[in-house]
Amino acid sequence: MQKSKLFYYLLLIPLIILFIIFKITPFIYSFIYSFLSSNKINSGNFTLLNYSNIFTDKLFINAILNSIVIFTMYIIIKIPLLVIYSTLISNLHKSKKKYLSLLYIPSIIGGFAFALIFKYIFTYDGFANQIIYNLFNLKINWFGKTNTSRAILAFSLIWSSFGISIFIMVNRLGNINKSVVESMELDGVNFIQKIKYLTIPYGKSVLLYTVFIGLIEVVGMIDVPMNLTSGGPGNSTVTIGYYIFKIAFDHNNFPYAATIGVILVLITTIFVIIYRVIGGKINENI
Amino acid sequence: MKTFRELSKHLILIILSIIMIFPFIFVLFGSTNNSGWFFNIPFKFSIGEEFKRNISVLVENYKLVKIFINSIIVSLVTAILSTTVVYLSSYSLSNSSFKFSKIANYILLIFLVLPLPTYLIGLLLTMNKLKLYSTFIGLIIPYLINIRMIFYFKNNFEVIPISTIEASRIDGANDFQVFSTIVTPLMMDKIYLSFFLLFITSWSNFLIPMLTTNDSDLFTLPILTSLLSDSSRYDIGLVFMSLLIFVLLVLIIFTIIKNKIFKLNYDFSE
Repeated sequence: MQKSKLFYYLLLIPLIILFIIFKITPFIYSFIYSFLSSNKINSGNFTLLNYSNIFTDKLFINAILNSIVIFTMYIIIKIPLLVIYSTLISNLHKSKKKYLSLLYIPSIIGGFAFALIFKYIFTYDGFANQIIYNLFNLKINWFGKTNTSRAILAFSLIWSSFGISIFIMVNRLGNINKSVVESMELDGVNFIQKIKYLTIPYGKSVLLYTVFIGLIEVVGMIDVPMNLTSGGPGNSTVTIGYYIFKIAFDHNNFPYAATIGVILVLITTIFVIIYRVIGGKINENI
Repeated sequence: MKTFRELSKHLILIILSIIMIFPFIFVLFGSTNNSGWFFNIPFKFSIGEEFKRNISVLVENYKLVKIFINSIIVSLVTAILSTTVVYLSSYSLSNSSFKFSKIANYILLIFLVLPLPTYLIGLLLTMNKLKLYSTFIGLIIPYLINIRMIFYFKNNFEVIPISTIEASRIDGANDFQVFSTIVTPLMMDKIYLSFFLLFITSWSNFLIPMLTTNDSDLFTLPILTSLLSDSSRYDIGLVFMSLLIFVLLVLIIFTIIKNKIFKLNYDFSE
């Protein structure tokens, strides 16, 4: 018995080594750095200033508010689309896989690519505006206004995550007992009733998961705002993750960036706890 | 009436698919044009004539060939090593009699959720301490752990019927033999899929490689793309050309694994 245990430990060794070096150590480092007064670990003194500064940091509050607004836009657009389209696709008999794989393609490419593409589609004289101009005779300064540039940020996230979400959702709806679906079809339910009695009750844990992952995505993204708006106009698209990045590289203040990283761990933990509580309630009700 | 309904369903789906795919079409058109095309009034949605120029400028001024080969090598090595690490470790984590696996599961779940900015600073400092800045190894080993893939393999190991494994135990196979001759052949399909997925993950890995690589001989394609769009010599045709190369390879891999992808389980909602 002792010998067989050894075998399992051996298999784990590469993972454990890499995990300690590239996951655990960075956290410890970040934590230590959050108590330093300067970038140099040797000359920096122990201080709690970084933590007390957070409470008066208007830009940090701003980053939280931006994240909330972008997250709200993201969810308001994505969840209805997800509900409607997963109902549509899961009711198809043929070509289900074709649509799924088409919709899946964007999500294998990182958000940063969409950020770059959208940056040029939505420029003032660009493609999107010229279509809008031809239809409604107006031009929108997408990156000049706060809410439109936030919306485009949300678009980029939706593009890079919708495929996986609909994939999970259709999978889940495919697990519904066939007789339930068939008896509903015999009763002649319409599309809205299908959403009400099939998609939402059976898919609600997936929807909750989508909301939760969306939160993590929004607070965690750096590359999307960096490539799309660089935080502008006027810091209105600086999310929490990007704010950490900006402090570290624009202001060259590693300790403070690490401190906000630690705060973000707390924020994420709160999200997880809320998610577990709501998720537990939802699963009871099925 | 019924056919009309079916048709309208398909129509709605096709519209969404086109919208979702549109950025790729835009990349294709953009890569054949110069900067002016993006701001042309009226906008002409057409294939331009700058394709050759864009490619040759990238090759001559930006070492495109070298960068492309770099990206391929980095992604290949990462995919191979990462698949190995993930595969081996998930096997022992899937063993329920192994007590350590429960604790390890929790730790992995925590790290699956925590977003990159929470440990970004620490990771950069660690890489700096280990002298991984601007090295080839630095583009590979920090990214070998893929927690999603560990759970993917773990779930698949768990559905292998215990009777299969026990039968071979009775025949006198030890743990290593069970793993290498019974379990691994059953998993070849999944190993293959994970190799391609990890290849794409590494291929689109962007942020930390960009922050830790100053040496232009070590650039990968995403780094080049981002730099091109940042540079003062604002040439959007070039940005889209490198985006096209970036996207094309992903699409090629996607067509290879298209049919296997439906077996993937991303559902962590429980």
